[in-house]
Amino acid sequence: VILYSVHIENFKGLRGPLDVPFDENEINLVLGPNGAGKSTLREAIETVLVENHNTSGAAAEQMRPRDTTLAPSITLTFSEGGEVYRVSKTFLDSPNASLEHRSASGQFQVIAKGKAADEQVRAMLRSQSVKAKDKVGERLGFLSVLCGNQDVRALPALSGDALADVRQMLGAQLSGQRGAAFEQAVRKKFLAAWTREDEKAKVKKGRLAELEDLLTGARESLAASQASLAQVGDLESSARAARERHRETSESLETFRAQYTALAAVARQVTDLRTKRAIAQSTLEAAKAQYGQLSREIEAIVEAGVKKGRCEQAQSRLADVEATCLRERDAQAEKAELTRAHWEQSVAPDPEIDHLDKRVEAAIAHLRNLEEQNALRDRLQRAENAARRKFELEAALADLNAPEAATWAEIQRTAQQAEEARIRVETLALRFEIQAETELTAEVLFGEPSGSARLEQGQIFVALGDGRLKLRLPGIATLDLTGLATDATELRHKQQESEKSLQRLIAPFSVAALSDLASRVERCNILSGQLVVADAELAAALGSDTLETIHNRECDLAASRDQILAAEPSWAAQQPDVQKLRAAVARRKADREQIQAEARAVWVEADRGRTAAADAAATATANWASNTEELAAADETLARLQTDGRTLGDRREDLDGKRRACDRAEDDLRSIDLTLAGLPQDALERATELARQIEIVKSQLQEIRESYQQDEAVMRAILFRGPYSSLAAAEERVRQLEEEYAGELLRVNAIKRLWDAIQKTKAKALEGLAEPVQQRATDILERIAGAPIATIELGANLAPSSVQPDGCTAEAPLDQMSAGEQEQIYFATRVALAEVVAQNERQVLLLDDPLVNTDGERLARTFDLIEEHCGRLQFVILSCHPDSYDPLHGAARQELAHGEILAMESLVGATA
Amino acid sequence: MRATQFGEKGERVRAARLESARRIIAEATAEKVDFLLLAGDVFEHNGVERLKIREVARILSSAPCPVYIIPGNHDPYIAGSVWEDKSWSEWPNLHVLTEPVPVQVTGGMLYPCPVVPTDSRDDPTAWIAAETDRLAVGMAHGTVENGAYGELTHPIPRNAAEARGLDYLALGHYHSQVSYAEPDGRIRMAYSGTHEPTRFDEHSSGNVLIVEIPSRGASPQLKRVKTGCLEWISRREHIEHPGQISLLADDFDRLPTPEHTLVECRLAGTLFGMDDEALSRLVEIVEGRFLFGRADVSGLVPDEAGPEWIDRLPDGYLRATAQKLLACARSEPPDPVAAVALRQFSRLWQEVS
Repeated sequence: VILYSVHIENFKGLRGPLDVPFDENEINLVLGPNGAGKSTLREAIETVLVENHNTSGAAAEQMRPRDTTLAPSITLTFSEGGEVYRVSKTFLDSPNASLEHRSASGQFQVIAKGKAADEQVRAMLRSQSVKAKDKVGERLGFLSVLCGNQDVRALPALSGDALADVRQMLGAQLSGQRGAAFEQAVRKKFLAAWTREDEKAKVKKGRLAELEDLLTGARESLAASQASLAQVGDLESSARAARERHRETSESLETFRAQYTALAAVARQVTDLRTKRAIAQSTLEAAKAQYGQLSREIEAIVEAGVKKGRCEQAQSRLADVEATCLRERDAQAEKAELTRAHWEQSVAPDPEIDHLDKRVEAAIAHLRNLEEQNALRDRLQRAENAARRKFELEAALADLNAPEAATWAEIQRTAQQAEEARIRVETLALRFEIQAETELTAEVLFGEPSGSARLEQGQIFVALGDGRLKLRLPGIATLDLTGLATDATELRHKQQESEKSLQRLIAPFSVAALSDLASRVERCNILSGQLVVADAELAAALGSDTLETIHNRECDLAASRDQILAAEPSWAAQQPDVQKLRAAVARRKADREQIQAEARAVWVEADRGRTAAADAAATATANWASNTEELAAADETLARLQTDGRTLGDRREDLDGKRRACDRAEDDLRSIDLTLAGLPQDALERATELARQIEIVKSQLQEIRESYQQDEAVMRAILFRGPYSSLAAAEERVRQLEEEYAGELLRVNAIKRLWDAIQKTKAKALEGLAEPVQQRATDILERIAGAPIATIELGANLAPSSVQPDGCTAEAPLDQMSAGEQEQIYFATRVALAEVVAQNERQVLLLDDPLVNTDGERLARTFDLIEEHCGRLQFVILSCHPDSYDPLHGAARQELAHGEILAMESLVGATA
Repeated sequence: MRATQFGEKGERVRAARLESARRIIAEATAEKVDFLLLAGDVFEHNGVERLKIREVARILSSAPCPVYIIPGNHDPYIAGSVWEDKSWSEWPNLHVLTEPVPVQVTGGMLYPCPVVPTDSRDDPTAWIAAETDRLAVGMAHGTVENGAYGELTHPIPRNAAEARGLDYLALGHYHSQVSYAEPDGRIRMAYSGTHEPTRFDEHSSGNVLIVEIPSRGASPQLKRVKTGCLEWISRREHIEHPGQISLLADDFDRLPTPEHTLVECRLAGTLFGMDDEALSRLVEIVEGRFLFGRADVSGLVPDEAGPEWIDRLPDGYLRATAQKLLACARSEPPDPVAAVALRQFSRLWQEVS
């Protein structure tokens, strides 16, 4: 793109209308102070080239001049591919766009409008319509390289179509036009089969998915057919097994039936024999019963006769025995009565023992009485002594006139205060002590005692003063002592007060000195202690009683003692011996008990004899009665057994006949048993069991038959539907679909493999393409700096990523370079990339104050570089540093101020 | 009647089998045979469609002689089997022999050995005690012991014909024709094989045997008659020379009656650079010309130099891509995806030319 002119109205700070022509062949300098609108001019050119005319939103609103509702409008005339175009866009209000082409006649003709115009212009710059802010490279396309703003890092990373094109430009020689067409064809096929181009690509829903669905359906059909056939197989196995069981069971049934037939015949024979045996048994039992009956009758008659004889013989003997026993019984009864009376007499109460018991009790009471009397006398004595001692002590205390305890405490405290005051006075006062060796006079002039005092030889005189003590010894000397002034006077006054109080306190006790009163108090304390002791002794002696109650009790005891002594006068002289009395009682009682035991033993023995005699008499009476009854019974039995008039011989003859009948019946029975023993006894049970088993087996056979018939019916139903034909069709379908699926999968994967392989090898080939640009940028940087300063490293997006400062082996971040060097690195890179973009066609390079931090020398070298590049690039430089660009010769200068072009120089080619 | 491997062509293959059955009837008519013996496995399964059963019965009923059939292990006589279909009783010349009971046939006695249980280990001919004065022919379905096949079901002794006193024992089970010669050279028992091949790897199938027995004890005369109406051609070639694939393609292109021919072609070895187009032609002929055709060229590994078109690619990443795919396709084991990708490459490159 080469710029010819731009017309701007109402775009941000440029209200316009502003027309800025550009020299097609020369360097264009647009100079102006800050705020003149240079950057807005660049922005307007950028906007008209890449922005949609109908853009909207807050960002778009910023295109309006501030605080206006004016619609921005921009028209740019430029050339591209050797053709001249004019694009006009009005934004925001009634937005519109048009692209005009200048014909050979010089007239502009509209070739696109609206969105088509937007897109056609963007296509020239490989710009893409993206809104994302982070895709500036894609939005600007080639303008990323060809249009730079003031930001030192204003070289957006190339991306999107522009980056692809630049790469294509760099590596076009690798595949050529046919290669590009081929790659496009592969990509088209790849995207027809796969969802995306990266590693997350998935196979698109297409023929493969369709085949997958068909295959699933076919496999399900196949599985259903296989299941049917498997069911037939199972049923067939089951039916075959059931038929085999049926055959085996039928054989078992036949075996059972044969066994049953044989066994049933034996069972019938056994049954007949058992019937006969029962009859024979019955006959035998009847014969035996008759024989037994007759035999028992004979035995009973014989036995009754014997019994009758025995009873008749015993009758008289038993009568004698009974009479003897009755006599003995009566004698024993009389003896028992006598012994009982004797025993009852022995257990009657003993008056002697009562008398002895009472003496013992009286003796004990007498001894207790005496003991208590003595104790009462002792208590009474002690109480009286204590009462007397108490009385005496109380009288002594009353005579002593000792102060009360509180008074005595007050006296002691007052005396202590006086003593303390005295000691302090003596401690603080000036003291002068004179021991007279001869008789002399001492006069206290200042101090105490004031006045004169006559001293005898050996007498000691003490003078005291407070702060000063002046003493005159007439004829000898005047002594004047001075010291510190103290409160001795006040203390002395307190001492006197205390001493007065003390005197007043002890005065009622009529003592000469306090020590006397102290002795008296001590004596009082001793007496008080003794009084407490006397009180305690009195209380101990009395207890809960009084002297009166004690006296009364003593009288009662004396009366009781007199009464006892009246009954037992000997105890007055000698106290009774209780132990002895108790021993006499015990002996008396033991004697009595022995007599009672002996009487009871005699009575018991007599009673036992009476009972035995009574029993013997009763037994004798019973024996006689029994014998009498037996005799009567024997008579009755004989009479009853012989009512038929038959003799015992007749009966015995009849008995023989019965015995023979029994023998015959036993022979018959033995014969039947012998036959039965040769036959199985359980034949009938076994036959019954076999019959039961036969029924069970028949039932099983029926079940088995029903089972396989049911299985076979199901088999027939399934097979009738022809499941195998369905299976064959399903297998054929599955096989066909599997082959198709495998083929399609292979094809899809092969396409992916082809595309991936192309991309990988291409990426590897393109990796080296940045190197010539890096080298070129580094050369330009060296040219600007006048010496090698750093090697520029470009990233995958062809933006500078790092530098390797000259002389260093390690790469360094760009921001470690100086501000001037940084802008020079970006400038060099931009120029190197612009060379690539302009390799087929001259291109504009629009720069907004690109080198503000560059020193004069480097700037001069940069200008040389710019001038050299004029043939390939149309430089349009916007700057607020007009002086800096003075060395740039041959540049077309325009001055922009307040949104207007003020001056122009050498705009030769701006006529387009 | 299953033709799984043929996919959508299966129906046509099945139809060909019925056609070859008609050929049997035609041959029997021409040869004026006394009776036809079908020694089992007339059907592949008892679960075939009833319509197919009736169609087969109708074809067989057109024979000018009695047709004796025994159930085989694939169509055993069980409840619901094909032999319960009423069509077998509708035609008087069709006799399904489901019991091992001698049957009087023209010129002698027939001793049938039908298969009832599917996995019996008993000799099905064990019951036969042929009468000595009448021509005796047995018909059994099973595996001849110590034969080339390792199966054990329904074992038949190698000397069954002699041991049972038979003049001839017609065998069924194997799809290929196999006969068993006795020490004196006489052949008294043989498998006729299926009347139509069922797989590519079968040999000597697609025939019937016409057996002529002059008299009791005489040596039977066996004549093999082709009845199969489909050509089954399986070619497995190892490509070792440039141009070999082209010659093979010519061979396939010259085969007569492609509409009755089934072709299976498996190639292994080296795919030489100049053979790339020949390979495409071969695949096109095999998969497009015949009733059924399958070309498996996955065993071909491009030679080291690769196809010639790779050398004609512009020097750069595209050629590098092709060479990389070639290397993968030649790797051990070969990468089939890479091989197909390479062919895609070739096709698309030609398209953009």
